[in-house]
Amino acid sequence: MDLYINATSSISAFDSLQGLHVENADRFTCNEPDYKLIIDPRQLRRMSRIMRMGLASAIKTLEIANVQTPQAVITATGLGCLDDTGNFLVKMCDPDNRMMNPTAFIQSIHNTMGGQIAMHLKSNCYNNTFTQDLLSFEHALLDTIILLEEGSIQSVLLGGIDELTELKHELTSRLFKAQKESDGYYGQGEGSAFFSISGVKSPVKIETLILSQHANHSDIRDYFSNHFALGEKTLVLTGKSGGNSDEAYKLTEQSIGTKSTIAYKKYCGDYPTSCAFATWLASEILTQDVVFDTISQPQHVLIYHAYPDRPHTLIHLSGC
Amino acid sequence: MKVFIAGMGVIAAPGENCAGNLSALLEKRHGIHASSSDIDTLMGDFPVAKIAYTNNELAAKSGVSPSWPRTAMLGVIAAQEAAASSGLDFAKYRTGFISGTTVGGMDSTENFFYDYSKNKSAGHISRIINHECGKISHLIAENIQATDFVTTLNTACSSAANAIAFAARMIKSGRLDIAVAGGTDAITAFTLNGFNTLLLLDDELNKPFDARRKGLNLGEGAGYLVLVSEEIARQNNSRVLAELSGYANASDSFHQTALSDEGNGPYLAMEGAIKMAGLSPNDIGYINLHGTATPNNDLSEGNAILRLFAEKIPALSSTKSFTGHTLGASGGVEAVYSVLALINQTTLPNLRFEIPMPGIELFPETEARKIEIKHVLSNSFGFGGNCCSLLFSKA
Amino acid sequence: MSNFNAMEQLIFNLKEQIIERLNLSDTKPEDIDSEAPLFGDGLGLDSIDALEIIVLLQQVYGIKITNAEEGKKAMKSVKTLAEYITEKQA
Repeated sequence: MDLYINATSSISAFDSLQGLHVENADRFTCNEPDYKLIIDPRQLRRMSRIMRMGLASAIKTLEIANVQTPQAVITATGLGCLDDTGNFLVKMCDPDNRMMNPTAFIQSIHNTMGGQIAMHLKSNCYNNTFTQDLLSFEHALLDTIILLEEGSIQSVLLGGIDELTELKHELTSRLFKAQKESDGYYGQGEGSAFFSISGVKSPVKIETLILSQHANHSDIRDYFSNHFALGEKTLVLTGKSGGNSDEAYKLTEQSIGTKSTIAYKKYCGDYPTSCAFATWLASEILTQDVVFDTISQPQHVLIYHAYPDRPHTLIHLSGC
Repeated sequence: MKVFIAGMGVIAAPGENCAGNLSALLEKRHGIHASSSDIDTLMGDFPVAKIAYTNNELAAKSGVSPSWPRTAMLGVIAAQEAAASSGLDFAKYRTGFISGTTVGGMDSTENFFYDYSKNKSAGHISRIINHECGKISHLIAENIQATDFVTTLNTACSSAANAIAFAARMIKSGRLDIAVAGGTDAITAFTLNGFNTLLLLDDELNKPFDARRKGLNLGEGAGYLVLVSEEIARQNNSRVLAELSGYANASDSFHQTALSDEGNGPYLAMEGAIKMAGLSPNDIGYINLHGTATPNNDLSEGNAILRLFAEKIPALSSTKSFTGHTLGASGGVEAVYSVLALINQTTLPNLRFEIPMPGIELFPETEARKIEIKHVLSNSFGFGGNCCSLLFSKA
Repeated sequence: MSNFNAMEQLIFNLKEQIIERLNLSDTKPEDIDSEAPLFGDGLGLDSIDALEIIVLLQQVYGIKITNAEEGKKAMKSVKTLAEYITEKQA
């Protein structure tokens, strides 16, 4: 079954395709819109940043797709609602100020965004939330593909969201110090990207999603070698972070060959569902006539992630 | 394409494996302790269904490192039992592990934060490396060698049920041959204090579906099924325990922490599961209720049942009167209980039920009763209005 | 006279605490009418806010509301809330 990205919207540290934002920052914080223009201010009062980012990009995506109610809402988040979780935890563990509040607990659960979106749409649709650290977004995309293949549902709203909080930044920095993370590490990031996906023909086609299951990742190596002779028309977005875990990319380096390659985390920072940002970026590159870094108007974008001791993943999008 | 259950495992306060849980259920021995005194709870003492073993004891039992979060240790014990009972060699097939959890490695994270709150440079940073829900699944999957596809769902209290449904879809779509699926959650100070701020805890033993119910008791545990494709079920004929004949997920879309009074989400989930199996509500012999014993859940679920089963109310009970509410694990623990009910052709008791809810004439089973059961429905509903029902049928 | 001042002070403190806890960031204590309904039309609060106020009473004033009807009456307005606290603390 042919599947297409009908619309997408994102909130990230990356401004636009024309004006690149930051590289090698200590942290990549999102450029957030004026939420009052998108979300009812009474609802905003209680919402943490991750909820605002998620709901705002979900609403925008549906607006662009001209879909009133999708038949499924599938979200991915690696770390969930960190601000509310941290807030509740810190208060609970602080002997001098144990003022835990119910709102933080309610909103600490990973499916808060999925539930909020369904409530906003007043929809009884299928709703699921994937949280498999670095692979969360790919797994949510897999559920999307299976649902649409099954045929009982025709449109899915898919999103990947993670937030960077002060506490997360502080603790991750401490962890990296302990693990001797490389100085080349681009920086921690955050972001939200949503997609309206269906079988309705659109300019961005989802060609394939590969989750490798073997230690040598031969399925991905074969895909790189066999399907892409047209090097100059293909852009590869890799999930390299500049850090120690980039080691994992060595296994497949040869098969990528001379294709144009961009390490996209230079623009959004490193976070568990950054693949959603890459998917948004790929969709923009395929639909807008812009010269981006080294290659102009590619027809294919391959989004490739290699992590140590985890399956490698490949998403192939094409312009049509 | 059908999906069958070839093995299962469970640990919860009433028992540490399938046999132990079954005898506790039949003999009406619940696992809820009167006091939460060993958990750091502010503002009160609450009954909790905590498993009697310490972390070190759980580690010794399962052969894993005592540094694992408790959620992972409970999960690995149930997953190991499930894997062993299936008799399958996972390495020969495409085998995945699909799990639901809400707290992940929170118990370990809390330990870090108790130190951190006194001094920002204190605390062993290694205690937070398994915080993410996905890390828990990864640890368990490696241990039972079900690593061809590993994922985690967190949809609050319906997490494990959604994990089982997604696992079935992975098999039906030809992406896996075998999936170990269910969920795990440990009791943490985070969740106990959280539910307390929501005023959802009962300070006495819970009373699901009873007019006098005041709230839930928190529990902990893990439950996993070994789901297999039709082809493997045929090859492995002797070990087919039941068929997963239906499942459905629906949003209630009413409130972040409450279900609609009329139970729209619960109704759609139950109806969807029954439809998928090509059955009618009259075919259902027993319902393992979500039945948290909060005023809101039981009212909503009760109303949905009255509407859907208007002609004939099946036998029903909430086994949370034994296990407490095991949150993200509950759909897994109760899936195992549902299959036990089906295999043994027995209803499971709903302890402490005496008076039906006003206006909702539903009478849960108060004894384990031998009846003919062909199909069992298992309900799981979570925050965010996430509703999922699973349907198990005699194979 | 001193009683009156204590009540005024309590009302002011409650307003500040409610604003902080419920994230009413655009509201100042003087914007809240002590006798206006907190829920529905007045400040437009909802059931989650009610929970926040109940927990506030527990954590700051050591008062536990166990009866829903009693809670509803107490939380009608900031003034009734202050009177309820004074009565319970007496």
